[in-house]
Amino acid sequence: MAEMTQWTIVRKPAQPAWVASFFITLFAILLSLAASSVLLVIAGVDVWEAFDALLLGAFGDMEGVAGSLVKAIPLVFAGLSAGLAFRARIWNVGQEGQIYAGSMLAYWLSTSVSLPSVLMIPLILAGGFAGGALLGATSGVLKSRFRVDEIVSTVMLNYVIVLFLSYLLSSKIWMEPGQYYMQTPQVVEASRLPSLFSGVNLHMGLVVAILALIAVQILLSRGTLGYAIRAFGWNPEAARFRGIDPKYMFVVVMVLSGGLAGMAGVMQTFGVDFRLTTTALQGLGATGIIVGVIAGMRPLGIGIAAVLFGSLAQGALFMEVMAGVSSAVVSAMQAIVLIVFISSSAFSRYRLMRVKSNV
Amino acid sequence: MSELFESTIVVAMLAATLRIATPLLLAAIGELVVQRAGIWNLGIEGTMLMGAFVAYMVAISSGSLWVALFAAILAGILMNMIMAVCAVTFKLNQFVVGLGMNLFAAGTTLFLYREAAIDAGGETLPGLQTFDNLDLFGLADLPYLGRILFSQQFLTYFAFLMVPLVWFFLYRTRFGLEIRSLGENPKALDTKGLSVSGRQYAALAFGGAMTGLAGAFLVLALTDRFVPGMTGGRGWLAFVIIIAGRWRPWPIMLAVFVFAALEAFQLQAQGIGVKVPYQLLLALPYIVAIVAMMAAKNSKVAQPERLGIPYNRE
Repeated sequence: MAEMTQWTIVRKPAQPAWVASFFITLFAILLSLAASSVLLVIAGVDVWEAFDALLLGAFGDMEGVAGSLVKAIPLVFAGLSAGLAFRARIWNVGQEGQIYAGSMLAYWLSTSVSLPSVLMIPLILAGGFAGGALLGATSGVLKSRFRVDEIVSTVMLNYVIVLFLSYLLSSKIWMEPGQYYMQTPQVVEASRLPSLFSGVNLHMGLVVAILALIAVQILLSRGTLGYAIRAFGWNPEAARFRGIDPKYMFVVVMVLSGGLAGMAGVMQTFGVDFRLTTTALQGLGATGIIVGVIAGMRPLGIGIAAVLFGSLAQGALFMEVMAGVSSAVVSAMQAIVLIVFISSSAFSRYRLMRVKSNV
Repeated sequence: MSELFESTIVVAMLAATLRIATPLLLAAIGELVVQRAGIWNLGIEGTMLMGAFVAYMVAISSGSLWVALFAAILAGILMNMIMAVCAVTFKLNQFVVGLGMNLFAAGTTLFLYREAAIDAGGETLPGLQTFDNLDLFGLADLPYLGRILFSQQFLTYFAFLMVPLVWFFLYRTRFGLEIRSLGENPKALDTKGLSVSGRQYAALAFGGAMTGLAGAFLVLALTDRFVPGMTGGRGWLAFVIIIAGRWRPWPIMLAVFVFAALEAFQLQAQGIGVKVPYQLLLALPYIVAIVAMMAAKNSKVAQPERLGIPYNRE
C-alpha cells in the first residue's frame, strides 16, 4: 500500500533527506531568486541594482552583518516555535500572537519591579516565555478539552491579543504620557539586552538564541519528551498505544512552542525596539513559520534559515534607500521562497504528509 | 423621535448585515464545495486577499468594474490552482500549502501595493467609484424592507442565490454526488474510472472563483479601495463558518448571518452609545469564532471522512 512507503520515508528522514534536501535547497534558492526577479520586474525595478544593494546592505560591512544577525535572533525563536509544533503535527500558527503576548508580559514585569540588570534580564526572558506559553496553552487546552482546531484558535487569538494591546495603549494604561503615537514609554535601561561587544550593535540575544537552538536539538533527539513529540508527529494513533496521551501532548507542545515564540518577542522588544507598539512585532510570526518549514523543522536548519532571512530583511533596508524598492519586498520574497520550497519538496523523498491516511 | 431613530438604526444594521454577509457567504459556499471534495483548503484568506488586490488594481487601471470582477475571479482560480497542483497532483501537506498561499498573497500584495503607491507619489492609492446598489423590482423605496432587502448590491443577491444552487448541485445532481463522494470515498470514483484529481481541480476552481469574488466585493462594494491585509481574518471566518455549518449549505448561511450581524452591530455600536472599548467589539467575531468551534465540537461527525487526506491509488 502507498501508506507503507510513506511510513519508511517518515521513519528515517535524516540521511536520505539531507542528501536530497541539499539539491532541493539549491534548486529552490535559484528558483526563488528567479521568481523574486519577476516580481521586481513587475514592480518596474532594476533587478541587478536591487540585488546588488541587497547584498551590500546585508554583508557589505560590519554594521550590515551585525544588523543581519540582530534581525535573525527573533527569527530563530519564532522558527523554533513553528518547527517544534509542526514536528508534532500540531499546527500552531499563533506565533504572531504569542510573540506579542511574550513581549507584553515581559514589558509588564519590567515596569512593575525594579531590579539590577543581572536579575532583570533573566526575569524578562522568563516572563516572555511565560507570556507566549500562556497563550499557547490556551490553544492547547481548547484543543484537548473542547476539540477546537488549533489552527483556528491560534489564528483568532493572533487578532485578539493585538486588539488587547491596542486597548492597553488607547486607554492610556500603557501609553506614554503626552505622546501622540500609540506606543509605550521606553523600557528601563536595566531590562535592555546588553551589547556583546562594545561598538557593535549586536545584543546578547544571539547567545540565548544559540543556546535555544542547542536546547531544542537536545530536547528533540534525546529524552522522553523529544521521543514523544516525534512519535506523535509520525502517527498520533500509534503513539497513543505507546502510552503517549494526545491531550497531554497538545498542551505540552503548545506551551513549549508558545514560549519560544514569546522569547522572540522579548528579543525584538528588549533588544531592538525598547518599546511596544501594535505594529512593531508584525510579520515576525509569519517569517518564523516560513523559517521553520523550509528548514525541515530541524534546529540547525532553522538557525541557517533565520540568518538568511535576517540578512534579507537587513539588506532590504539598504535596498530601499539605494534602489528605491519598498522593503515590503521582503515579505513577498519570503513567501515566494516558501511556495517554491513547498513545491520543490514534492520532488524529494522527504514528504510532509498527514499520516492519518493509514488509519 | 427616539423611536424613529431606533428604527433607523435597526434598518441600517440589518441592511449592513446582508452587505457584510456577502463576502463571507461567497467564500464559505465556494470553499464548501472544495471541502466536500476532500481538500482541506486553509488558503481562503490568501485567495480572498489576492482577489481584492487584483480587483482593485484592474479597476483603477482599466476603469471598468466588470473587468475588475472578471480579473478577481481569474486571480481566485489561479490562487486555488496552487493548492490543486501541490495538494492534488503532488500530494503535499495541505496545511503547509494553504499557509503558503496566505503568506504568498499577503507578501506580494503588500509589496506590489507599496510599489504602485510609490509610483503614484504617495503612501496610499485613491478610492474607486464602486458599484451602485440595485433597485430590485422598484421596491427600494418601500419603508424599512426596501433598504434592507431590495436595494443591495447585485453580488449580495448573487451570493444568496448561490446557496440553493450549490445545495441543488451537491444533493440533486450526479456531479454533485461525485464531488461529495470525493470527500468520503474517493476510491469508489476511481474504481469506476472517474478522475478523482480532475474533479478536485474543478472544485478548487469553483471555490477560487467564489473566493476571488468575495475579495472583489470588499473593494468594489463594501469599501472603495484596497488596503494591505484588508481581509482581516474574513477568510479564516469563512473556514470556521463551514465547520460551524457542519458542511451543509443552509446551516452555513445561518452561521454567516451570525458573524455578519456581529460586525454590523460593531459598526453601529458607537451610534447607539454602547460603552465598551471599541477593541472589544472588534475582537468579538474572533472570540465568537472560538466559542462557535467549542460548541461545534461534535460537528466532526459531519466532517467529510477523507478531508485533508491526499488520495493515492493502490
